[in-house]
Amino acid sequence: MVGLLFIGLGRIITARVQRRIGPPFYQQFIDVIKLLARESIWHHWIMTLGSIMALGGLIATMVHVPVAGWLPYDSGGPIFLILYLATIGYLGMAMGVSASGNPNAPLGIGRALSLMLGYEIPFAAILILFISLTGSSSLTEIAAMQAGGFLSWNIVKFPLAFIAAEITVQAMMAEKPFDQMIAPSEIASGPLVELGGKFLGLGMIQMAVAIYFETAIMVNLFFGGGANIFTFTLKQFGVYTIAILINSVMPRYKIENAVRYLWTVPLALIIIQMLIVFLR
Amino acid sequence: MISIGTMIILAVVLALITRVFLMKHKLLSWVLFSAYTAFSVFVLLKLYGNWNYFETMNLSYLVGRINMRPGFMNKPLGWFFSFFVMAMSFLNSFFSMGFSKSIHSRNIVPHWLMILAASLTVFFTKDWLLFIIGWETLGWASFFIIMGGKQKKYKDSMSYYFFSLVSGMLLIAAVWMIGIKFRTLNIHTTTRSMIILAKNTPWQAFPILLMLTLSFLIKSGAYPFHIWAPRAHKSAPADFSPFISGIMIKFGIFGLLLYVIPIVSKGYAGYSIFGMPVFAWVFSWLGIITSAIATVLAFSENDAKRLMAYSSVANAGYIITAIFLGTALGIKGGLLHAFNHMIFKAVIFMTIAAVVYRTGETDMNKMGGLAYKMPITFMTFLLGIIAAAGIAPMNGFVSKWMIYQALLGQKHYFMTVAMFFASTGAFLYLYRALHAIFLGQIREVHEREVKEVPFLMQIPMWIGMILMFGLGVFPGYLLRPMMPLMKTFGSSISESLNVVQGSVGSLNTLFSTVIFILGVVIAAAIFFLSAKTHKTPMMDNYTSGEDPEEWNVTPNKYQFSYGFYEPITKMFAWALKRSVDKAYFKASYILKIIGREINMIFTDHNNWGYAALLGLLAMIIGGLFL
Repeated sequence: MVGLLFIGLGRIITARVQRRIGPPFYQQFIDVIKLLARESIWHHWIMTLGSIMALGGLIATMVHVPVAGWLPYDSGGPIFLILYLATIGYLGMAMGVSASGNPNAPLGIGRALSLMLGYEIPFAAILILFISLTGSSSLTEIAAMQAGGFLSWNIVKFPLAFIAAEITVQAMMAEKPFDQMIAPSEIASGPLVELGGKFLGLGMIQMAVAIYFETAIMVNLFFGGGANIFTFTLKQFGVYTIAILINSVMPRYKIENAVRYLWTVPLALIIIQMLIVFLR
Repeated sequence: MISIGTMIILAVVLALITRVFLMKHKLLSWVLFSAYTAFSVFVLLKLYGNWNYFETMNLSYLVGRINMRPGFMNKPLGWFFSFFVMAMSFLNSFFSMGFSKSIHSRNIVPHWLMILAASLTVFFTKDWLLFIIGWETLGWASFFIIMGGKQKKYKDSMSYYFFSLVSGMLLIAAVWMIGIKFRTLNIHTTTRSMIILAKNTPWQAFPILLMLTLSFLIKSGAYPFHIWAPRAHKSAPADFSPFISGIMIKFGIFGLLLYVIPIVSKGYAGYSIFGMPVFAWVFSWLGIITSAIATVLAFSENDAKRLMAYSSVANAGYIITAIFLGTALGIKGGLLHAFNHMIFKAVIFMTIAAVVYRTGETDMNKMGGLAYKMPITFMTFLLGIIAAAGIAPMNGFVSKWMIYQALLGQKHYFMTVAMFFASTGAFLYLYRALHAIFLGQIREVHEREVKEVPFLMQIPMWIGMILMFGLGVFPGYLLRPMMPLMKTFGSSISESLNVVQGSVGSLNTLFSTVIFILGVVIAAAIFFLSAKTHKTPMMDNYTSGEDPEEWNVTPNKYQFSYGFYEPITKMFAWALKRSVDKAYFKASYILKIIGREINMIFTDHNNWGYAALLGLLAMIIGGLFL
């Protein structure tokens, strides 16, 4: 829900940057409901299986990310589990669109996975920095470490790591300049090419869920979690706004350049940050 | 009670029977094989818990000046490995029964039985001599299966045999040094003496340890010895590949855990780096480098079996890294990953064998869309790659998670990042295999001819699926029996069924699986409650408004498989240029030249002068020594 709202608001922001008025903020809800109500075509039951597995995996991931320190079960926001549960969502998505038989889809997935290889490395380095500082791989504890005012937030303490994380999250959300997997003008929207009706509807929900937990991870890592769900969501929206603003003014990288960039700039930043932390 | 020695002799006798009398009855020999493995599983299950059990042969002889009394001992480490060997062979036998009807060599059963006999010897023996005999038997018996009597496979299987020869020679040299030093060849007493030796005079223990480690690393396909793995897998019969990948690669891991790890982790007194011995640190890094290199090589691989072989090498790399950490958690994670890998990689290779059985093809560029015809095989492969990529909720995730925890607990941050690379890379190449073999457009030939494999071959697949999922949700079912094994490595944590403890966190597998299933239920509810769908043919999709038939585009051409990860491969072109294969090729070329020159000395009449000179030199040197 919140994710959809974010996308709706994001569309307005993009429009304003481009000097348009943009759609109303609830447009995305209308789109999803409309798509779910449309009769749609499918090529094979594996498409259905893939769509359901993708959404299921992403919802499961979302449940494990602590929101303002709150979790349905006391698992502490296990970061490795979150990363690898998200992967089953991506695998489901990839499998579903592969079964559609359109070569554009695996082309897009191939790009997405190459990009994933790119951003996982700096992201892992960031996580390792925080794990080494707290001695725990739980998101709740990483967020709790930053308790007590604005100045103890990790964004203030580790600005270089934050810039690196912002770049990797940009790639994670597949916003420009890292939107090679969708690239409407090159590969006909890539993975989405054969999805119509409720498959596309599910795809939009998947995207919303992914944006929701990716921003939530960022808030937990850098913005000290949140006192209550309202401030937490506000911070999430802040993270998303940064991503959207960069997205609306950027062109697109070639995939190998994107991966090379991710392995040099953010990784170098995070290593400098690590050196500063460990040598001090 | 039937002794281990009897089981070994029984296997050898059965091997002889199947070789001499049953050459024409393939099915019967497979039934015998299956019965033998089932019986061994039964015998081994009875042996579980009886850790003081030992047997000595009524036989004593002298080796050099050492008095030998060969015998067998039941230790948890050997028990676990032999149990998995037998259980996986038992599963595989069902598959082979169905497989053997068409394209199959007759020599497999007898040699496989020899391998089983040899592996029982290696896993239970009390002294190094039987260990060496078993080790060498493993080498030649598997060589005959891999080559299968076919001339065109000679080169690839020879490279495998060469590496196992080198491994055997290093082992013999190390054992020879141990024998000279301690005047005994008993494995367990020399372990204790070696720990003391390593503490007092590390430089004396170092060459022995190094040779043993290299010997075992060759068997597990670590860099730079990895090149035998893809070749051996490619030329092996499709239903033997599960055994190579699942079991044969683990013999090296067994050797390391048997002898090298206890000595290095307990008795090392030399320099240390990042809180661990330099020796262990170097080989830990070697493990992670192995996985990274195998991952990069797998990106551009077009052959399904070679791709999975690289994946096995990468997994062996994780295991090597984990066990060389030397901590209880690292060894536990490594062992668990070894056993999990046995299950999921065997299952993956079985599905590939099923594809070979129906299509006769291992080139992924010539396949596609087989899932529509072989749904069970597809589901097995899917669960297999989920486990192999270490994605929750399958069994591969739990052990990989433990290895991460072990690395972080020892503060090896760079190794963790490298492992992230290998792990994400695994997802890349495994998805490529999934797409290129099972998804996308189906070829016209396959559309007409391919169907699901017979039920007999599906049995091990079903069992494999249940095992992968079950051990992913309840890793305790494997970790609990492993407690006596972990006790030998100094850890006495009692395991619960579904909660795994790490160094910087814990993991509740049951909870995460339940959440995942709930998520799937919610997604399915959204899907099935919304509007209707109707099915369209595979070729009826978006083609930028063009009609495929006008452009002569058939399903064969409408499949994206060739050059799948070209951008990434291009990025690593600089590394791929300097491959180890070329170094080996150069070495073999130089060896050939030297060999030819030596040959010339004795055969070419113009060179009699050299021969005379050589003879003179030999006489002088001999005279000096006498």
